[in-house]
Amino acid sequence: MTGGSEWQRAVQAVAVELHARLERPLAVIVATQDGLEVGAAGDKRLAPGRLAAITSSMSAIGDVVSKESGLGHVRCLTVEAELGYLVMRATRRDGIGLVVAALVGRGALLGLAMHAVADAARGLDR
Amino acid sequence: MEAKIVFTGPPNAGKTTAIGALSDVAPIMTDVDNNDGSLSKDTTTVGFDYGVVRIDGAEQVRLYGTPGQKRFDFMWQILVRDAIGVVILIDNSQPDAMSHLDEFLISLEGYLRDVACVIGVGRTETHPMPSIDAFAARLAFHGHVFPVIDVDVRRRGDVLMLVELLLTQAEARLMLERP
Amino acid sequence: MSTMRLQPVGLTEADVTRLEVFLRFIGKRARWQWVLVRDGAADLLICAAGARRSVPSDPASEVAVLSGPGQPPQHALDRDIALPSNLDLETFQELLTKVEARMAIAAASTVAAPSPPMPVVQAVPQRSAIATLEGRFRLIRWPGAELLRSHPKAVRLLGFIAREAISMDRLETLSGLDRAACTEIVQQLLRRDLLAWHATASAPPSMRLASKQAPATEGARSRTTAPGELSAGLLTRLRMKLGFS
Repeated sequence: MTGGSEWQRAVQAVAVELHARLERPLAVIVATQDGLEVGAAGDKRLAPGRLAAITSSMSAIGDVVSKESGLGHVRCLTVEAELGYLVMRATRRDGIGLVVAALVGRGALLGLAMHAVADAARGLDR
Repeated sequence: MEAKIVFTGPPNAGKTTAIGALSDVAPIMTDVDNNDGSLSKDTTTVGFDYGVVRIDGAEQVRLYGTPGQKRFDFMWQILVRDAIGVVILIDNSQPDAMSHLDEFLISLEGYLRDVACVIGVGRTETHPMPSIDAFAARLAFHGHVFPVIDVDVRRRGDVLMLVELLLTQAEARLMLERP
Repeated sequence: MSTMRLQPVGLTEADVTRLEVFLRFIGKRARWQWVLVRDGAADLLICAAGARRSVPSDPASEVAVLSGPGQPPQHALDRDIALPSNLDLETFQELLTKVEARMAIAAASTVAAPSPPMPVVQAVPQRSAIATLEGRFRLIRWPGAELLRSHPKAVRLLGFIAREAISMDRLETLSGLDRAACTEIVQQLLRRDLLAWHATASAPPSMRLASKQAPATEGARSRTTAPGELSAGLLTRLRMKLGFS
């Protein structure tokens, strides 16, 4: 992996900034496409390493479903649950595929969360 | 029991190849770039591989390949649930081949009571140790009686043998459960 | 399910409480139930960074050592497992998995021979078992690929005796093979020490009673299969599709 500590610090900073921006944030994870955690913020009891693997799987499966059904490339993947939302978006930084995922509580406005995650993903993109 | 067969095992053990040998359609894969330096692969599965064996009409059996890394063990459990059976492929050229088997048996223990299972050990021509006997002994220690055979998943006949061993177990279970 | 004991050594009450919370979530594992003990024998010791030296080396216990803030763990032995100071649930889960795997390996290395899944009810000289084939037979280990490839019909028979001890009469009925074929296969397996032999020709009374007491829904489960579920017919059609006999 080409990301050295400075690279990871930059990604971590984006995770922290996104967490601060969200309403009712629970956690933010930035993972590589193959499920390795590179940035995290929020409640560490939610096992960021495990969430990194899970969100990368979901992102890959979402991409396949979208392409197979002719919808094209996935922009945003959202899960609505009883107590909150999971919003995910893929991006790339320096040739490395990443997944930005935010968990927010039910009281948050989904649209704002999606916008914030999109902004974070764009901020990482280069 | 659902009409699905699952191929699992550590990375590079041949899961995608095995599905490709059986599937009537080009397998769907969720491979992404590999960033894990410990793996000597450019890409790796993070969701699942998917193939299909069409029987007739609308009837089909789905084939799933799981990701290999331990961090995706939630996918192993999701996919193995209610399967006809699971093929655990082991790459004997890896120095920790036996501990890979331990890992999968421990992770899937709750499911292996209800699904058929067969262990396929690959690359034994160049890496004969641990022996098939040693793998069988380890299975016995875990309390399981499953077939263990050496295979080359590039050979369709070997993959078919793995599946036949699963079917045998599944059929026996259904027949023995009849009132 | 067996119990595994985890003992904190030199940890703060906050850290001990954290372990208790973790165990409430994931203490019940596939094979073992982990419990926290304060003293006595333990399978896993979790030590604070400075407490390792107070723990005598005991080959029966695994030792994990938490690092101090900003410090690497001070483990005394190569076998010790190093843990970060801010132990999270995922790392704790990995620790339990690692210890369980070590226990499994250690136990396997002391096992001289695989233990059969069911005890042999009565020891009988091998020769008479081969000659009479009375009683019931159960597979304790599958044969290797060589026998499977040379006896393709054996595969169907093996599935039954892998699940339970079965008499020759019943095996003939279940497998659809004639008596001579069943006899030859069972004798081959006996010669290779792959079968456990049970003296009784039928299941013991306690087992018959258990099957009678099975809930009514057990039978209903096999009468019809819900859409998407598997039937013996589908397995047969899959067998034919793949070209198996």
